[in-house]
Amino acid sequence: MPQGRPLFMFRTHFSAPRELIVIELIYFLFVVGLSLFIYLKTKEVYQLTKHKGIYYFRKIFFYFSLAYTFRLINIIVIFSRELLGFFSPMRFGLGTILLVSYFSTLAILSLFVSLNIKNIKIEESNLESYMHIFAVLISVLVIFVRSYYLLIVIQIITFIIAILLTIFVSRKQKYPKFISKNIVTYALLILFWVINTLAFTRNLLPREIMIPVYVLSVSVFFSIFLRIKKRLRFI
Amino acid sequence: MAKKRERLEIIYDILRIIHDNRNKIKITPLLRYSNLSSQSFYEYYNELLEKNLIIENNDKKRKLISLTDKGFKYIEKYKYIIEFIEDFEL
Repeated sequence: MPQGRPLFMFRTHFSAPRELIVIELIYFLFVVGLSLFIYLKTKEVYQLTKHKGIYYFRKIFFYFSLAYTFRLINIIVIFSRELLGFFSPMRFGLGTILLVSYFSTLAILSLFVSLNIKNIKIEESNLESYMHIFAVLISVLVIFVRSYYLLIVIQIITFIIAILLTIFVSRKQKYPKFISKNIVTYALLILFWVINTLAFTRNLLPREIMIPVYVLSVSVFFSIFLRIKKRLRFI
Repeated sequence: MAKKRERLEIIYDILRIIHDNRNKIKITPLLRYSNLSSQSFYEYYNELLEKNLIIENNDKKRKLISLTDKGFKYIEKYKYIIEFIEDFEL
């Protein structure tokens, strides 16, 4: 990883950016569409119960939809010369990277909190403030160091801590479940996000791998969408 | 030892008591039937009023408690809400 280079200076072997953008746009529509459906479908359940677990569960998909939106904008910025005929200002590129880092960190923190909501004793308003402060710090650090790899490493560490905490807590229960289907689903969500982050550093995956990865990523969102639809069919 | 009731279950039980009493009940029997301590009952009671799940009506100098539309909806959808929470381990 070359240090100190602007993040959007990475170049890829992609020869046809328009084709790439079409693939990215379709991917974006699926992921953001499914995320927003999940967010909106769970709105009434949250309004009725004000359940904290549901609150953070919804936030995972809200923040992921924003992260994927700014990810697409970032890719358009990267290819602005080929697509729009001019280079985007550097600060615009940095701005989108900042927002991608910020919202994706918040999505992973929301996932962490929703997995461990019963064991978190911090007051809710403080908890949200800590999450935003942590996300801002990470985003600023990523911009300062100019390395997506730092973002990826921090997000993976946060997620591993969440999984370990969940497993540790579940061991104390009467019927411990070490690996639940939710943990597997969330692990896949993070895995595909990490692959996505790698992709938009312009260290892009070969097209033959990229499309199956996107299809699998959409499948994970789709499986959550189907479960929500089934559970909340009368709501 | 019986399992401690979860928050959502307690709310459901309180709403169910009101519902089963033709949607009109005084606060004292509600407290008695809810099987809660006075302190925790009033915490839940105030929460239900704040969340607009119940409403207080003054009828012939008596204060009667009724469900709102939102309260009826909660009872109707409680089963699905619990299934959803359990499925996603929230």
